[in-house]
Order: sequence, then C-alpha cells, then structure tokens
Amino acid sequence: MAVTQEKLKNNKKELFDEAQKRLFNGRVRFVFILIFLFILYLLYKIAFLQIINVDTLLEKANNRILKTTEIPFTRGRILDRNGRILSISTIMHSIEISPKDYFDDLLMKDLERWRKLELELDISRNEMQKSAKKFIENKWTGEGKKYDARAIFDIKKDAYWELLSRVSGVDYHLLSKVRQNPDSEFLKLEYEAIRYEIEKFQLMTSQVGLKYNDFMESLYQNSHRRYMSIARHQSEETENYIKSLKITGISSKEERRSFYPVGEATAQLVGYTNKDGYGRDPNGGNNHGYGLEYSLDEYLTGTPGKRVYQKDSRGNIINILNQQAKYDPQDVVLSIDENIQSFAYETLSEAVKKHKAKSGTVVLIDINTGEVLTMLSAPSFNPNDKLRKGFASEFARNRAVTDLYEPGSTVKPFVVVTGLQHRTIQLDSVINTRPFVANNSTINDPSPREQSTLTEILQKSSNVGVARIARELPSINLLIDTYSKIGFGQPVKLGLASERAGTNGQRDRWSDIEQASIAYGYGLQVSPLQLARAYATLGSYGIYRPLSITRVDPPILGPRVLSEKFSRDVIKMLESVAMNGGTAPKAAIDGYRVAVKTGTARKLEVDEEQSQKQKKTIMRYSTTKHIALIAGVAPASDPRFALVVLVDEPSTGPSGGGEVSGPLFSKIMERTLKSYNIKPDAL
Amino acid sequence: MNNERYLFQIILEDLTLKNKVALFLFFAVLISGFATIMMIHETRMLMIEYHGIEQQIKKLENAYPHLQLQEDVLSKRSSVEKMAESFGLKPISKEQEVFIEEKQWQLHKKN
Repeated sequence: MAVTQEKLKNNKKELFDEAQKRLFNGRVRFVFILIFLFILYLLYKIAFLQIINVDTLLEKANNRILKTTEIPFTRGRILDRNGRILSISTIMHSIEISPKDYFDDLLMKDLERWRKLELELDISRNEMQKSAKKFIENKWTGEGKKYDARAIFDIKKDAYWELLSRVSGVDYHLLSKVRQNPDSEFLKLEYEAIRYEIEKFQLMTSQVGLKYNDFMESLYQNSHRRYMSIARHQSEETENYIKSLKITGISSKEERRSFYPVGEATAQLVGYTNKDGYGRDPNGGNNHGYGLEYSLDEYLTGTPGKRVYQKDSRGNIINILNQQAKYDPQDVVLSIDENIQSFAYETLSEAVKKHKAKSGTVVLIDINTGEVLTMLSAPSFNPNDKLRKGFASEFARNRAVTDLYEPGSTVKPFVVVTGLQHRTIQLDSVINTRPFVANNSTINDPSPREQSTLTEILQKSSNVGVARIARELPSINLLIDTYSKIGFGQPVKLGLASERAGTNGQRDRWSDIEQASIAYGYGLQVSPLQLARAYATLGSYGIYRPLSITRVDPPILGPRVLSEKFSRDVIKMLESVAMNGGTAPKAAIDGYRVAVKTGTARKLEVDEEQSQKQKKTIMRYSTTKHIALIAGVAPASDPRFALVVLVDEPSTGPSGGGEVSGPLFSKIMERTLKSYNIKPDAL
Repeated sequence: MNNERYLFQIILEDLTLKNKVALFLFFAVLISGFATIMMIHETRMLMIEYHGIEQQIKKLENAYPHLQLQEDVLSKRSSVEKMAESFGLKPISKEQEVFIEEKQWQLHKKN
C-alpha cells in the first residue's frame, strides 16, 4: 500500500515535473520569440533610420547644426559714355522696432525700481515681478488692446497707476501711498527712467528726420505688434548712431537702393529699381517697362553666392562647409553723354515752363556711329525721391520712343530728295506754288508766292511746293518707300521695352488730299527718335545706320538708302532755314553752319460735335493744339550730330517750331559741338 | 597599507617593464588628444579672425559705392563750372578764341 502510494507520489511528481518542463519550454520559447521580434523591430528601426528615411533625417540634423546664407551680388552700374555714373546700387540700412518688445521691457522695469517699490509698499518684490512677467506673457482675449501704452509714460495720470496695479498685481488704492509720497525713491527713479527713454527717442527721430510726436503716436498705436518700420534707406552712420542709443527692440536690416546722381535728366531713360533692387516696370505688371533698369535687368543682375557653415552659440562661424562664390554682373556703358544730357534737360525744362507746354523731348544722335548721345523729355521726375513721387506717372514715360507724332514739315527735305532721285525735279527747278484744290480743300501757304525754287520751298516751308513735287512723282508709293527706308514705321530696336514703331503713311487707297498732305507730314506717325534717325541718315549723306543706346566702337556699317549727291544738295538747301528769311533764324549757331527744318504740326483731337452727330469718334485737326518741332544736323559742311527738339502744345508766346524749338536747337547743338571740339565751319 | 603599496609597485613595474608599448601608446593618445584640442582652438581663432576681416571687407564694399557717388557729384561739370566761376574764372569770349589745327603734312615738314 505504502509502496503504491510512494509510486503514485513519484509518478505524480514526475508528471508535475514534466508539466513544469513543458511549461518552462513554452515560456522560454515565448521569450525567445519576443526577443527575436524585438531584434527584428530594432533591425527595422535601424534600417529605417539609416537607409530608408536617411535624407529627411539628415536634413533635420543639418538644419540644427548648419546654417546657409546667401552672399548678395552687387547690381551692375549704368554708366554714360565717359564713365559717369547714371545708376549705382548701394547698401542702405532700414531701422525697425518691435514695439511689443520695447513696451514689455518698460513694463518689466529694472531690479532697482522693484526694490524701491518693495520697500515703500512692503510687498514682496518677487511676487510683483512674477505678476509682471505673467501680465506680459498672458494672451489678451478681451476687447481692444491689452493696455494703452501711452499710460506708461504719463506718471501724473490715473491710467499710469491703473496699469501699474494691473502689472504688479498690487491693489490700486495701496499704490496711492507711493503716488502721494513726495519723497518716493521709486517715483524719482521712474521719472528719471522715462525722461531717459523720451530723450533717446527724440535723438533718434531728429536723426532720421521724423517728427517726434508723429513717431510716438504710431508707436503707441502699434504697441502690440512685433514689427514697425521706423525709417528706410538710412546711412551707416545713422544706423550706428541709433544702435548706440541702445533702445530695446530696435534692429536694422540691409537693403539695396539704387541712386541716380543725374536725377531728372536721365530719369525716364534709366528708370528705377523696386524695393528689392531689381529693375522696376513703371507700369507694374503689364508690358510697358520704360527704363533701362527694367529692360537691361538681366544684364545688371548677377547670381548670389551661397555659404553653408556651422555656428556656435555666440554666433561665431566655426566651420565653413560649402561656399559658392557670388557673380557680380558687369556695368552697362551707355552711349549717352551725361554732360550734354544734363544741359539739354535744364534748357528744355526751362523752355517747357516758359511756353507752358505739355512736354518737350530732345534726341541727339552721333551721325558717324549711330549712338544716341541724348534722349530725354521734360517735365521729368526725381528717381531719388524717397516717397517715389511721380514714379509710374506720365512723366516717367520716355517720350522719345513711346510717343508718336505727325512729323509735319520736318519730312519735306525727304520729299525733295525723293523728287530729285526720280528726276521729276531738277536742282534748278522752279515750282509753281500757287494754292491748289484737292478734294474740296485748298492747300495753301502762310506766305503765298507764285513760284519758288527748291531752296525757297524748304526755307519758307511751302506746303504747296512739296505737295506739287509729290504729285509729280510717278507713284506716291515712291515717297512712302523713301519714308520706310529712312526708318519711318520701322522699330528702332534700342532694347527699350516700350518702343513704338509708328507708321510710314502707307495706305491702300489714296485721295488727292491724302497724297498732298503726306508730303508735308500728315497721315503718318513717328517717334522723335525715328525722326532723329531720319535726319542722321540725311546727315551721313544717305547711310542708314542702326541706332544704339550702348557705346559702339567701331561704328556699325549701314546700307545706303538716299543718294549721296542729292543728300548733300538738300543739306545745303536746309542751311538757308536757319538764316534770315528762313523759318528758324534762332536755330543758328555762332561759328557753325547748321542745316535744320522746322515743323509746326497740328495735333489730332476728338471732334465732339461731329462725334455726337455720327455716334462714333471722329478726329479732326485741332486749331489750337500743335507741336513745335525742329530737326537738323550740324556742322552743315560735314554733319556730325543730328538733333531733334520737340515741344508739345506750347500755349503761351510764339508757337512756331522755329520760334519755340529753334533757340533750344541752337543752345544744345552749340554745347555739343564745343564739347566735342568740332572745328567751326563758318568763321 | 603595505599590501597596497606592494600592489601599486607591481602595477608600475608591470607597466614599465613589460608593457612599455601600452604606456607609450597611452601618452601618445594624450598628446594627440591635446594637440587636437589646440588645433581646433587655433582653427576657431583663425575662423573668427577670418570672419572679422570678411565683415571689414563687406563694410568697405558697402562704403565704396557711396564714395563713388560723392566723387561723381563733386566732379559734375556744372558744379565744377560753378566753382570755377566763384574763383573768378569765366568762359572765354569769341574774340579770345584761338583755333589750333594740327595737320599731318606740317608735322612731316618739321621732321
């Protein structure tokens, strides 16, 4: 019995052991599996970090350690032909403040004042400082601003004490103890601190030319903001001075700004840059950029460099890891002569004022090279104006290329050349200049004559004369052909974004009056620059050179478009215009012979009466509005310069091209001839 | 106490007699470690100097356009003319003008 019992016991134990063993094995296996899974997970994690997600993680790590900065390039300068600066990009400093940081700093006061307050109120300084900190950090959800910043500066007012109570957490009535204490150390210190702050702001505002009261007003208004611009484009000295005042929250930023030392005289031609330092399209967005800053932007813009570096906590560069050098663009050298341009601007704007004209335009071309020496219009605007007054206005338009006019009598020399070339007239021809009727309108001259020589036709500017010459041509298309060859209706392609090509007057059907009036410059539209190009072509005895706004050396050759001999003859005839008896004796220059032609072209305007009657816009030639033109070359013996002066709508005094623009021609051309040391040919 | 000193001696002897290489390596590691620290320090000092010089260059570069502008304004023809007039100079009149013309053949003659 006992044996069996023991056996049983043993058996039981064995069984138990077995079970335990099995259980243990199961557990071990379980743990092993767990560990295995864990290792798998680790492997996955390693793979994830090291292989799969490596790029983003690397980037994150680099973002913490590495910094990348841009090394800005310097914008190219625009220079005149003699290297004088027309546009230069400079670094200026903009002063900014974080009003919130500034006022927060004031509210936090300093230890000294809290100590004094602690003594006078018997309230723990730490508590008050904690409360102040809380007050600053708490987000404001109530209406309006958290507090009126004005109160901080005005100790005498209740608002100051209310604010102090709110900031420090001290009861308002308790504070009156300090307020009424005449010997309060705290008050003394507070007064001093506030006076000090006010003095700093007064010094700063006077330095940047702001009114103290205006500045403080906007500072109060922006008291909750983190950014407020104080003054833009300040010099480095001003920046250093303001920094030395150590006003909390003030910072400065470098900004590029272009300067234009010639100012108004080159404003339309050069244009201006926007606040980021790129050439600005004055019309913003749409395709009518006027200035060279805009149209040459790609030449004036470089590529910024890049630097990747490590920085320590103090902001020192520890290590430069990667650096790309910046690329500074080259300067652009224009064909413009600053000296003549400035002089022409002064002369022209004076005349525009004197004649109460709408505008005036001057274009001067070097005949030998096709370079534009002067191109401007008045009135202009100041491109250095900080407030950008007059920018993108009609004065910002470069009228020499954007505005089209009917050239009027200034085309007459070309009609004569055409006639001579096609042998319909001879040099000694005498033309019948009695008025004649075409399509019910009479063509006549201001000073009618029975008959005139070619010289007389040009000298007296006879409409009848040139109309007859044009009529006698085998086809009017021959005249249009000449107009096209000297560049009317052909784009000038200076590279200015807003150039207009105008028209050469070609039409499908010609009436008699149209055939006549095209000979004295109506029915076609040209820009002042195109007219100057036509005269440059005449001046080079028929060589049609492409114009350039940048300096060219050596001169570009062009095709011959007019007969050399007849061009010479017509220039000789044109000399009589600036003599007594001509239309422009005032265009004469002492010591030089000049060949000019005047033009007084009536402007087209809307005929209100007829338009209303026929319910469409009817244009007619104005009886009051006109342009006063003069175009010519000098010296006449061997032309070197072609000049066009145009005054748009002169309203007071004499109105003819010779009277208004003649003196301008004389002055500007004389200055040019003398400064280029041209030998006088009329001694 | 004695035992401890004894142990210390053993270690020292062991090191100096039997593990010279290890000892040498230990010192070599120390020296190279300090040298590294020095070099890094030196590099940083140079970097800071470089940065400072770079800032100076930048300052000069920023000042240059302003000086160019100033030069340009001062040398403007109209301002020079105004200044000349204030010194009592005046433009020559037509009677005072003398034209000098150089001709090639005249030069040849002289030679």
